[in-house]
Amino acid sequence: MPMRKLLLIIRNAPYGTANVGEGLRAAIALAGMDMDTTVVLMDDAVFAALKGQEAEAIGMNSLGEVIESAKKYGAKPYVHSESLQQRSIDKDDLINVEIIDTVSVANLIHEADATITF
Amino acid sequence: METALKLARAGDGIVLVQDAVFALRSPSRECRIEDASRKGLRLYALKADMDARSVKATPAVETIDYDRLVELLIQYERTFS
Repeated sequence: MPMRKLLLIIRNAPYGTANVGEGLRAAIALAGMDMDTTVVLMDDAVFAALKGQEAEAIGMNSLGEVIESAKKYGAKPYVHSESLQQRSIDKDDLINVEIIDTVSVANLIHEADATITF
Repeated sequence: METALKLARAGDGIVLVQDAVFALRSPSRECRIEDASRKGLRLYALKADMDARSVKATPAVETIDYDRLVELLIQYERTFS
């Protein structure tokens, strides 16, 4: 089956492991190769969408900015609403990114040709 | 396991391997397995990982070996882990 739509689901917390950075970089690379690429941040990965990250403090790039880059390259980033609620994170705490519910995540999985989790 | 159950749809299969087989031991096991059947999901668990962790088989979950896992990977249209 030719790959048309790709979904990346990132679930790990940002910075402690490389998963979020790697997932976003993979999404950027895939979008750059003209693949229809969607990224969903779920569970602890939603922390990557918080406003005001200053990752220079630990010698890294702020993942909020990497999410913005992903958008520019044509990847579609989404943040999972239930994961936000479980962590008491409001929309106002986040960078400008679309929030979707669990049913929408299930839809994305069932529509994608392949799903990769990070 | 909870997330997998929430995201899966009728006709989907869920294969439990490695530490995921512990989901078959917890107190809420019966109700998750019922949820899965109600949603039209098939549950499978890898025997080697169950044996290693002393997790007993249950009729609603198909206990599989690696050959069967390969069959499932081919049978289902798409897989992800």
